[in-house]
Amino acid sequence: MEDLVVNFHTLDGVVYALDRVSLDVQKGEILGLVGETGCGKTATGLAILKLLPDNSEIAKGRIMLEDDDILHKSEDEEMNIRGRKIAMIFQDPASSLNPVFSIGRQLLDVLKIHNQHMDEESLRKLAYEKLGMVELPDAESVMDLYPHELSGGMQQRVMMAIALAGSPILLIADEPTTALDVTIQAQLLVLLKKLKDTLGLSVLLITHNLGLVRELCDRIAIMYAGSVAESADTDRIFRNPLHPYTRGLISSVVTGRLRGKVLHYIPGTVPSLLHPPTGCRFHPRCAYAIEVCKQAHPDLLEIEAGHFVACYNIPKEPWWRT
Amino acid sequence: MTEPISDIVVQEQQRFREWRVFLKLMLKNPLSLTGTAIIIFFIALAIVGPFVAPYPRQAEGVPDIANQLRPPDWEHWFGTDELGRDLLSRIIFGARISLTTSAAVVSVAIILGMPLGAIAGYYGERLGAVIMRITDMFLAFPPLLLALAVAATLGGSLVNAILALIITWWPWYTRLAYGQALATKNLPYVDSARAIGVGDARIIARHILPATLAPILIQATLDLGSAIIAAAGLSFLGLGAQPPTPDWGLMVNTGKTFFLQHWWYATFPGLAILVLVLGFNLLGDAIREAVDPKLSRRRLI
Amino acid sequence: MVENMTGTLLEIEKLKTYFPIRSGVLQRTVGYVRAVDDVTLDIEKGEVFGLVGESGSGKTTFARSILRLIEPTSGQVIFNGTDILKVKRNTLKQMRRNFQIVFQNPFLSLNPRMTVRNLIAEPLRAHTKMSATEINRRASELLGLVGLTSEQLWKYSVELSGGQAQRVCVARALALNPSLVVLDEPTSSLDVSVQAQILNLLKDLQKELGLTYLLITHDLGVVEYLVNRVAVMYLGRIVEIGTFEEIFRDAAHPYTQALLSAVPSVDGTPLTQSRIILRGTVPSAANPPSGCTFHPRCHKYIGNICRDVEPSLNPMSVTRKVACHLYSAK
Repeated sequence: MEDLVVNFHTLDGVVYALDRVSLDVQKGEILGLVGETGCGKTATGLAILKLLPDNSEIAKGRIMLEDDDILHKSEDEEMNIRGRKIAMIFQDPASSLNPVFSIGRQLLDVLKIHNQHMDEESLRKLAYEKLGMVELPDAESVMDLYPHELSGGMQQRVMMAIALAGSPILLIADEPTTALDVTIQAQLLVLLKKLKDTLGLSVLLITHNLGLVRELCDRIAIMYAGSVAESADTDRIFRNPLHPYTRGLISSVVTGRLRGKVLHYIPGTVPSLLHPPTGCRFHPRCAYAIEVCKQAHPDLLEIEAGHFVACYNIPKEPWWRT
Repeated sequence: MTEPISDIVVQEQQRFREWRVFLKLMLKNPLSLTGTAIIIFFIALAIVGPFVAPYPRQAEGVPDIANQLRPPDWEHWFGTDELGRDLLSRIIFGARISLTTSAAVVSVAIILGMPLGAIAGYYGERLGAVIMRITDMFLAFPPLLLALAVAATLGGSLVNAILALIITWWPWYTRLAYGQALATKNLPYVDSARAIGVGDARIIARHILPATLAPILIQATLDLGSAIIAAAGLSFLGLGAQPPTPDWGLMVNTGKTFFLQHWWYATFPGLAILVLVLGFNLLGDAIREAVDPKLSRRRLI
Repeated sequence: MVENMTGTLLEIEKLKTYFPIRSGVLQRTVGYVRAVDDVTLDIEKGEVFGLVGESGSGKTTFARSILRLIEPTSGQVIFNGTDILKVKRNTLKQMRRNFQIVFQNPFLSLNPRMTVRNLIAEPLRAHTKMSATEINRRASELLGLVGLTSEQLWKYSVELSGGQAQRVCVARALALNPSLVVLDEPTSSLDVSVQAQILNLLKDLQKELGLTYLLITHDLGVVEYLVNRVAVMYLGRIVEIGTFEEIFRDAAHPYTQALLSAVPSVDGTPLTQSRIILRGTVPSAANPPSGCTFHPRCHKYIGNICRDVEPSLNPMSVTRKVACHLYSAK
């Protein structure tokens, strides 16, 4: 994705949701797109599949899938991509699954769309295969169950099976575990890693959970108020974050290690994207802001190998938390 | 397990901005403007009518036999009735009657029904069940039939017609309030109030009732129109206003006997009913559309 | 100032809250959802007591049961010597001054049609006869206590940010100087940097006002940061209680171990060294497994005893209790 600009036209005015977002996902890697609420990470995911609401406008930018421009495709071609090349799963599996149809029915429906020439028998076998891929035990009985008869974790696995039905090369997962318990989250973590290893699946994981990305992702992109502030390998981001926002964000995560100490936090609040700050959108809250920060939005530059930062005044102090 | 805070904030801010958006949408919608205009016109008529009507004393009932059943002409724009009274003046005076009747019916029905529904919803279990079963009993009757029965028992008069309609109408508001109360009573802010130790009465008054207001007001707007028709229907059947009251329904009733040769007598009062009720319906529909949270044009992000 | 803050503030004995499951035309009771299943624990004055558990553990029902927002089925909740569950409505209302609760979602806990001033006035009006001026003064005072300015008094909750709204909830809870504050997921719906602010505030307030907290949450980082003692709940029962050191450094119960190891850590090292992945999902509280309710998923299952006999909560040390057959004396 290069320099993507997305605006929403609302009754209150124009919301400048995405301001030149650039990121890339390599084959077979899991990229974590991290940010707090309102940073635009969900909009980014939806933009890739052109699932943005009607009042949105993709003003500028390119999105390339394997060197193919997918932003300017016809409806037919778009259908080829959705579900087939790129699939998406969302936060609340209960609302993504249709409550009146059985799991089997929903899965088979999707499989039929992607494999129009197959007969009933083979489709069923394929369904069992997909359910096996997401490690749902006893696939045959699961097929007959209805979504409300499954737990949250199992529902999410079913969502993944449906997403994998078209054998996509990229899976976009928008807060897939936020609504689930931490022990179930751990199970899904392991599953995602496995899918990456066995299927060579690339994943764009959208979340606000820093711990999750540390465990799961190969690379991370940190978003703030509509653009990418920093992106690098996971290790590097945590060992030496450069962008002031990234530093602030990681410092504010509460863990037992900080017991007895006063917690760090970033002063101020996330700006409204109806009237975003000029220049770098983080400057009103940034301890390192200088004059130029108010004037123009910094470009995402490669400061070290593979480590991109969008900041005019990267802090010189070494990072304290390891 | 945790809902992203932005959704909640957006919802709440949406509700807050709703008034502004609501007004914007209302002003843009031609139907709502028409409806509002009609209503305002009739209200104005009701207020200044007596000073504007060309033959005020005839409206109150003084006959002028010499001029009976005259077709519409320059002296009597809407013609005259069988006692020579100017129809236009009588219709103008009738506006006041219709509006006060419907306002009385709807407001008293709300005053009775809303708290009852709120109490039923909040307490639930036995008390709620008892209240709602009684409500259901009333709801089971076809509305007009019930009104007829009551009015017939009490005798024909405008006041009795209003009473009959109130008795017919209150259960609908109870049901509306009940539904809203059920939804609201489990919200955390009600729990918070209970945890603080706020008494039940205060909770119902401050937290539950205001939430029930919205759908009730929408329903009330439409009901104002329906009440006019119902009252007119009762008058038409002789169970409402009695002569010489210039009630529209009564005029249509009397006018029907003269209809074939003197078309104006029943037509103009009928038109008055039609237009006023249309006004309420247009406004009510426009409000309902404007408040509908699902319309995509109102979505923020 | 925490001086001589000893003694038990809240004693909970064998608390049970069962919800009947009704079915059929006649709505007969066919079973029970055992949301809170025989819980006994004590909360000491001045401590921060954490209660952790996942969804379905019953911790939220527990919180509402001890405050009598839901009527428990049986048991005792003794606050400063009096059993809350047995007192009359009026006495209960008076007693409510002493224990308050802060809920998870500040925007749903504050009536969107009321101004901040009226929201804070609500407890004051319910329990005192303060005049409007006195209320305004006290409200300003409380806002100052939670880090807000008097300007906020006239705003509606909708106009506030998440952090500000949660502060208002805290101010409201403190209005009557309670001794116990129950915090039900106080930071879970807030953004990361706002969480930090609120936690700092809660910690400071606790010290300044000598409050006792019952912190209920699924976020183990927050628990480890704030609490003195912790209880772990699974399917309505307490499986382990101990000091934070005992639980976090050396968890005894297999569920606690799995819970701690499942948390992905920002610091790079999981809370316990090896990642334990539990099998299956949380069973329904209407039909819990026999014996030790955790046995179908337990990675340290020792045999039939786990399946047949329910382990009781036994002391392992002065401060620690575990409900697991691994530790019962033979």
